[in-house]
Amino acid sequence: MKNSYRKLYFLIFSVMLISVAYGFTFAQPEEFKDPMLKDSDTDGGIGFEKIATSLGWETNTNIDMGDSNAKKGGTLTMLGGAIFPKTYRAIGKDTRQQINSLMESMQYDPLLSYDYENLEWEPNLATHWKMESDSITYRFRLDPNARWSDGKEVTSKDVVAYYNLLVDPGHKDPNVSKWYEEYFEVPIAESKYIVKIVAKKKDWRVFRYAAGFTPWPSFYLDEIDGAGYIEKYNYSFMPVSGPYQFNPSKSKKGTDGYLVFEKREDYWAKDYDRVKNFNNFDEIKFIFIEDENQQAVSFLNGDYDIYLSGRAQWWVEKFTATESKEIDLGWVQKLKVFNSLPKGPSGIVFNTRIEPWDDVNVRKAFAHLFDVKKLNKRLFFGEYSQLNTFFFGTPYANPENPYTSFNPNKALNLLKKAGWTVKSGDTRLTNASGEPFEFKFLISTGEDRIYSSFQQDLANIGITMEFDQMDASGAFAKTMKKQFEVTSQGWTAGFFPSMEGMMHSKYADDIEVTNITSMNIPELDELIDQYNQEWDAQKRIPIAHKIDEIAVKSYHYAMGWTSPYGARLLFWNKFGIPETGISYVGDWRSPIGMWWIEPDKEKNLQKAKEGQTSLDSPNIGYKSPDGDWIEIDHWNKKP
Amino acid sequence: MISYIIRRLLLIIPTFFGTTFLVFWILNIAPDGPFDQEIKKLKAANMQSGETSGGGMDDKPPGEIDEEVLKKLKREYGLDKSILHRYLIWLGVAKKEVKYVEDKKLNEPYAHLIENTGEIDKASGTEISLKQYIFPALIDGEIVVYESSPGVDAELEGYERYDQIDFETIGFIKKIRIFDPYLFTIKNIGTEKNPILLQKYILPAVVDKNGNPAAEGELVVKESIECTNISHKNYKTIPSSIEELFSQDESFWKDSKWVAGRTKKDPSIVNIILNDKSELVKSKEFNAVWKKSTWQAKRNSDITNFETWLKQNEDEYTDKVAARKDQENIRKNSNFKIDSNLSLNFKNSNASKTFYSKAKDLSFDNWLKYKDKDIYIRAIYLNKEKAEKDFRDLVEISYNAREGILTGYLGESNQGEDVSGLIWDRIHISAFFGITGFILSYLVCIPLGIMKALRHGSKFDISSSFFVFIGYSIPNYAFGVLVIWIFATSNVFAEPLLPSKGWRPLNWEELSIWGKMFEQLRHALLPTLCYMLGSFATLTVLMKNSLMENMSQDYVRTAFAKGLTEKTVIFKHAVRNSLIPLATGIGGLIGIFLAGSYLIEKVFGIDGIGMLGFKAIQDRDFGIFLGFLVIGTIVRLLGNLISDICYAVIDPRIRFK
Repeated sequence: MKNSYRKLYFLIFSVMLISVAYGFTFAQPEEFKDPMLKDSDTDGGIGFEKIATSLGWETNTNIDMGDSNAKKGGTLTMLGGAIFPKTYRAIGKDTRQQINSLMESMQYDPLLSYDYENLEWEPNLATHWKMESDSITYRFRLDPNARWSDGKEVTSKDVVAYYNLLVDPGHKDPNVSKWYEEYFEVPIAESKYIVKIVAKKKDWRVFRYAAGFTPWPSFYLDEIDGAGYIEKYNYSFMPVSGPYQFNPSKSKKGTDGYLVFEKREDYWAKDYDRVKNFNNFDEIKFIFIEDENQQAVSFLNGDYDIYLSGRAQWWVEKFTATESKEIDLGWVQKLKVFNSLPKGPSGIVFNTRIEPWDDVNVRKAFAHLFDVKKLNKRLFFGEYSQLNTFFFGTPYANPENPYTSFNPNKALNLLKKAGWTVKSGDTRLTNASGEPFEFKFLISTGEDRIYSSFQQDLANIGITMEFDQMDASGAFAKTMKKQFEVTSQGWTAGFFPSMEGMMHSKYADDIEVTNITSMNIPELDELIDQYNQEWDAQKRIPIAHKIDEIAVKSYHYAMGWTSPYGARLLFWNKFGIPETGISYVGDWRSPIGMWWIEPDKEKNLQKAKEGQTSLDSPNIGYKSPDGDWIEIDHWNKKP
Repeated sequence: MISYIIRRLLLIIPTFFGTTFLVFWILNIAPDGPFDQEIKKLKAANMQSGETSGGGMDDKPPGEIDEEVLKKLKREYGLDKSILHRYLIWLGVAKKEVKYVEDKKLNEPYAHLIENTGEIDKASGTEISLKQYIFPALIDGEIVVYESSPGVDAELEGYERYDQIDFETIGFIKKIRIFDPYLFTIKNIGTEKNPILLQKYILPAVVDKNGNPAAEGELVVKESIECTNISHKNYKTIPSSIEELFSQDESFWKDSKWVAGRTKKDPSIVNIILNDKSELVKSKEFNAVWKKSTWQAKRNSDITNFETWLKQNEDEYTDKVAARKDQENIRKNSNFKIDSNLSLNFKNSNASKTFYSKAKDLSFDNWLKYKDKDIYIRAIYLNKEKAEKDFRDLVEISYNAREGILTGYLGESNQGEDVSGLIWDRIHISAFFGITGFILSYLVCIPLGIMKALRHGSKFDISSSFFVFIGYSIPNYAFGVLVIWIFATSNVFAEPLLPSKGWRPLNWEELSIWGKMFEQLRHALLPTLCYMLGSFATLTVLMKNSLMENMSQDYVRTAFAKGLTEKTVIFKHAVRNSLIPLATGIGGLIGIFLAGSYLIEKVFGIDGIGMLGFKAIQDRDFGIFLGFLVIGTIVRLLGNLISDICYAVIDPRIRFK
């Protein structure tokens, strides 16, 4: 301690001296050089394209988006949802509405896009990417041309700042912060354009999540933290990197509000080939209507351009030429597009931890007693189709899987194998000890409408099924706790199946897991592990097919039905539509980027409305054999 | 009569409490309330993953909710208290405790967000918020919370700025650079004419483990012994130059009561704060800015478990650089793994040796906690002492006040909006329909009823009854759908004649005054029709029957006998008397302002009172729901009373005893 403050004195003096000598900047060793100053060709700057491949970077120049006939201009008005969003934010409370993620994706470009059709990555904000041999270190090289809407360059700093915001618990979206924290280390800006992202888990999905980062400008993020974000950006956005930008002066907040997004004239990628025929509308407007009936009336009155038809009954009975003049005269067209939009599994599920559901014969018998075709015809106007896979729509669905048809005789044989028979003089199905086949079917209130015919079909062969009705959330809670014998359940799905949660035996004995049936099949476990280890999306296909086959044939699910199309729409007959209709995995949102206003058609529509004359159908797809709509089945996906 | 009114008014009180408590109780015991909803949301969110939302194939198994989170949530929803206690809080009789923030530092003012003004600051492009400073101060060992007056954080007309408080002038915060001595004047010990200032130097410094100044290390504050600015017999003279200051020997410096904290923007600049504030709070300058707040602060250590807190704030106390180096070393030499039996298997490699030697220092408890090797490594570099020190200085700030129905506060919605504000914003819509509907139906029904009574049994009477009863039998919302189909679509007319939805057109702001009137009428026409539909039949028939009854009374016959004209008899005598039963409805008039029908509003897409009430039920928004209940109960009770009074005023035969 002695002399310590003399040392201090000396230290201050030396600091002062150095400060004077270097003009208040400290000399830094080379390795600490500000990454933002590194922009040579090897650091990802101009000229990098030429040497990228030799350095082991990947890119993709074979990108074809949109239709070459597309014309620019006009306004697309869409229904943004039932209620005006409570906030425009993308993170935090009340951000789970579809419109929030839509606003985000229209305004902020991700590092990479994915071509689901060819299972390939495509450049977006990043032109090149590289994965080290450890499979957890990823590098992305940002496009030096990329600019924020305020003119500043998009740099690797932005990616880092974006990550830091995501993991900041201050935004009070603990699931987001935990999730990113769990998967990634803090990204490192290696140079102005190259950012390194290290994953904490060795899993091919993690690269997908990293490539999906949609950075925000660090100049703004540096000013705030998570709490600041939810305080300062409820109804405004930071400068954007994407093709559209929110225009607050044209929009209106509140319950009768609407949102207007304008195409950016200064979008940095606007002359790029990949978006040349994309993002055709000058303006996208979202309106909000709560009442279902009002949504339909308002659409037919021309308040908005594209109507997403959610109800099978309305599609078949309400939106018809006899019911609506607009459809009769061809002003409004009906369109159904089949594509590879993934649909999750659904159906009747069995708790295999309870007898007799542990017996595959019983489960299979029930699958033969569940008449999906009849339900579809009677209740759903033939608008749905029976499921035979856990991965519907995707290339991961096994096309060889059989459909389980309604067949009481087969069912009786199977039940007999399991020890259930109808003894003479009895109408009920009983087992060896004479107990009748009785069970409770857990359903949500109102579902008895659907399952009463199933109940009848079971009664016909001597099985007594009682409904255990609860409100939907109660039923789901019971299901998750595995407090059911048999219930009905449906799940959502992603394009790339992640079956571990639902099928791996390690969750078989847990509650609050998606493996609600307690699947415990060693062969599946092995395949799932193999599937998770396979980084090549193509090579995962045969493994997934095998998994799908085993899972379906284990009859833990008596498969139900799904809507087999990507989109079922009504639209005003003024659009130019590409021959695929919507994108390979697109839904009702696809038209925002892919459709355009055809000036001639718009004029004709105007004339037709004035003169009350009829219009021709657009020259796309084919007329549905089942009804009065156009079908597009570009990828031969119609089941 | 007055005693009757007083009795009735007094009766309102138990009725009010009875009704509200009953409803409050039912809401609280009913399943799937706001708390359950929140839990469900949390669980659902736990199930979300990157590519798709919702549960299922693409997802991790849904997560369990942490015990601690659950406990906190329960406290937030007040579920740690009994229903009666919660009811008393709601009334404003018992104190309520709303937790706003946690992990705030003692003795450090922070900006508290009151609300977002919804205005956008042109300079920064961000939203302007209404804020105030909250200052949890430790004074004589007790925590006292102060607050500054609210203001905004950018220029905005009609608001003061909150963020221009100069903390330096109130003496307890000073921004200075590390190693930059700050001359602090304690007081004048001389006279006013010949001042002798008692002064000392305050010096934020960074010291290494041995207490020597260093470039990296712990941030401390040293202060000099007290000196005077001119020579004094009891005091040393204050050094006047830096050279002189730093050539003082060790006895010149001691540990200070001031504390330092690095600022976010430039870590070489620190806030130094006088740690002992008992003097400070007495000063005039201090009191000009701060007043005692209704906020309360509790030490974190009274509430949260240190280990839990540490787990959340681990990063802040971890030497990440060192941790990362080890992580990388271990990754490279990944010959070891921590197996599930919590024993460390390692082969001969330097990295794992270092790792192991460090691991030994950890207690078994920590060992258990940090199964994951990366987290485990971070645990080794965790500065637990510092964390513990900081933890002791952290407070949780809550709002503690009597505020409820009896103090005129209707409460908050689930979204945190003020319920009275929500109702007030919509009341004009309901009032418009209520008043127009009321006036129009009386205007139409009274003449119609009179005509029907006078021509009882005629074709006109029968046919009008037919239509009136048809109207009565159609539910008003179904009638709404019908008129929309006719007038607001192109099904009947080539073009829709009237708008199908909304209270006003979207381009309302751009319209001229005449345009506004015209558009308002167009939008209001169909809903008003629906509102009138139900009351039409009742009123008309009531008027008709009442008039017919009166026409058969003796006094009417007398009037005719006296030779009065038919007109005089009917309108001066019979009609006036027949209006009595209708007048009883007047009391309901004050209910008009809340008379939104959800179904009509839904059909016509109007965001009025009815919609608000219905959505409150749907979203289990008990705040709004109870707010409605209070207003509704009061309105109804008063309305009944007014009706009774009206009755007595109009009909002299009725007396209240």
